[in-house]
Amino acid sequence: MMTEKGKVSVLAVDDSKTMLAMIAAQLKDSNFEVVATASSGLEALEKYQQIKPQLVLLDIVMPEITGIDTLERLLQADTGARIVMVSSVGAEETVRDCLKKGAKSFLQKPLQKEGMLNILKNVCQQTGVEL
Amino acid sequence: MSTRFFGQYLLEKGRITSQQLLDALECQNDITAPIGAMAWNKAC
Repeated sequence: MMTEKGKVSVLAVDDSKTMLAMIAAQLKDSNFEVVATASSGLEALEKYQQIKPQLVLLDIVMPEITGIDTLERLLQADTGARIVMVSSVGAEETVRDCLKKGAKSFLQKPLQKEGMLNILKNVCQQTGVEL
Repeated sequence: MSTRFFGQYLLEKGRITSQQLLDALECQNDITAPIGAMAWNKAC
């Protein structure tokens, strides 16, 4: 699903409403648009099926099911899902684990606008999403 | 202020792709011997 304005649609998943608002604000005036948000992994699975966003920004540390479990479930449902993991835990082991499990990239908190845009653009280029 | 490891920094700067980062992390994992093994080799 591309947005009406021709932007790349993003589903942002984080249990912090502040973080969700920050992501939406940082993507404003870019080629990306947060079209939906979810505050848990289970909600993310539901919203993904409904909306089919082009990208998912997925926090790792969340209640109920973790971001890593959500990543695996999303990829089971759609092997083509483009998922970028987000976490304040930027340990090499965590990054390697996420990428090996099928995440397209990794973003470390605190989010920096330039870094986030670079990574999202890179994922789009690598996976054939037109910007 | 959080710190980013160098590979993450390069990824966010758009200098490398996530696949290149994963390859480098795998390579690093393969060539870095456990500290115990290195100590044992020194002792022998």
